Amino acid sequence: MKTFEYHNYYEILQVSPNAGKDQIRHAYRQALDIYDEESVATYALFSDRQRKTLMAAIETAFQTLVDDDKRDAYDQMLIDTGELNAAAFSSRIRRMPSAGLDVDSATREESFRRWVSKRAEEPEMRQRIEAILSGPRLSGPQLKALREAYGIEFNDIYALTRINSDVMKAIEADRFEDLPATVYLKQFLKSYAQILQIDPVHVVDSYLETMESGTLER
Amino acid sequence: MPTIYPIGGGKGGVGKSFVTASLGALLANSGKSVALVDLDLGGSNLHTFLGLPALDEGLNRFLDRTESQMERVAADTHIANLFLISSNNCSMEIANLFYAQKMKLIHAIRQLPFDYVLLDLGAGTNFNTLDFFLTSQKGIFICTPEPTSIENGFRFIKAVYLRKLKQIVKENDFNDQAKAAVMDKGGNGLKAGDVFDAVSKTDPHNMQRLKAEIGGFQFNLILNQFRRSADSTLGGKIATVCNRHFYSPFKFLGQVDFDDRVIDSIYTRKPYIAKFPDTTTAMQLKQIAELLIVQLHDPSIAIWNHENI
Repeated sequence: MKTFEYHNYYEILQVSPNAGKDQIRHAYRQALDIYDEESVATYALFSDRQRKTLMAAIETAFQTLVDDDKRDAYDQMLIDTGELNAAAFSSRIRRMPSAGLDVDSATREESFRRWVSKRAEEPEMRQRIEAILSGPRLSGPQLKALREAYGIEFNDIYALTRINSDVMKAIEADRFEDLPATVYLKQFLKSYAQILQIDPVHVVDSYLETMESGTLER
Repeated sequence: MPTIYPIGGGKGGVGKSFVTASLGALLANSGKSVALVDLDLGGSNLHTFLGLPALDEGLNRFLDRTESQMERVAADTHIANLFLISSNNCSMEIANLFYAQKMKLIHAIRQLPFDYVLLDLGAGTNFNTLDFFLTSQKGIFICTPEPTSIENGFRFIKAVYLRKLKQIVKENDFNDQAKAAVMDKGGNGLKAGDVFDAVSKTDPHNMQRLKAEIGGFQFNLILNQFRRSADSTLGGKIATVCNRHFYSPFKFLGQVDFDDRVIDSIYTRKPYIAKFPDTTTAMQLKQIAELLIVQLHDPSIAIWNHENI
């Protein structure tokens, strides 16, 4: 059985050396989806030791490529050792203009949602969600903290919901005066809550309550 | 020389015989001459999926030498161009086939005068089943989307892969050390990786050859008894991961929806494909059959992508 022994990080994640962060994150989620121990696709294909080695390689590859400084150093190493030609990196676009424009956006969305719902099962995330649900009032910064704990970026949300990052920032900073009309806001909050795997009804009601009282106080 | 597709897949009850009968009927409908060989020795029931009674004559006559030409023991079915070579008529001890008989069968199958020959194999990974699967350079393995089936499916793939690797080393001019290293009869837990290690250590010049030969064997996957709740990207993922970790190419041919009416068709003794030609399940099987025909005409065709279905 071939392992990742002779693969560089780009090969491990199956992305081009010019891939943007967004593509790298997507590739990482897809890899987890396949190599995770609960994955039906590889059920009993690997021994525990093999799977751990593969998962560790995927994790290292991701942590390196998603960090600009580490990635630069790694690229330089690939060039120095002759593994990749410097020209391979010439057209890198580090920041993708917007996500979700790929042809495979349906699979992409599916794998993203699966990844989030798997994360939501983890005790740490459960606790966070529980804390928000049982708290008195919902605020933007709470949602932001939850989103960041997942590792979800505005790009990801835009790809799925078309809510742009200005609106997202206004919601998360409780800048009520910059928010769209309530009818739209409700829809946005609902979609946002669904992505975060937290009860949409509670999020919408509680956030609107916070907003009402907040606007009055000002 | 026929195009041979062995149809296997570790676990019992995943639908190997159903898929064999259905694909056979569809290929025959497209005007090709097709022979189905029931090689689930000791557990054969392919005739039932074709709506036929147990046949008195078939492989038994070829094996007891009362008939020397295998094609002459092929029985008609209710479908034009489709023939069945049954093993239901063989002795009760047929599951323990002698080596010479096995070789005789394989040799005769390769000479059958039909466009297509589909081999319906039994469950498990005994040497007979593996060798029948290796009769051709391409085989079809069938899984259902359940973990137990996937587990047995991978075990089957690994067993076929190892057997093929050993065959390559034994039957070609690899050096004696390499040949000795793969002589394990199962007792030492030899794995595919060990064959590669042994060749790279004792006969490094033949490493490329080993990879090229094993790369010439193609695995084709069908996900059967698919239900809506299952992950629709599963087949593609299995093919992707196998392509990364084996030297043999893997193709995902498609998924086939679960349908209660398969049982109905058996009770009414009519092949499912003939009785329910317009169901989703039948359409999916038809697409797979078309894929098999296209592959024959254009072996270089791009890897089939499940998203195109």
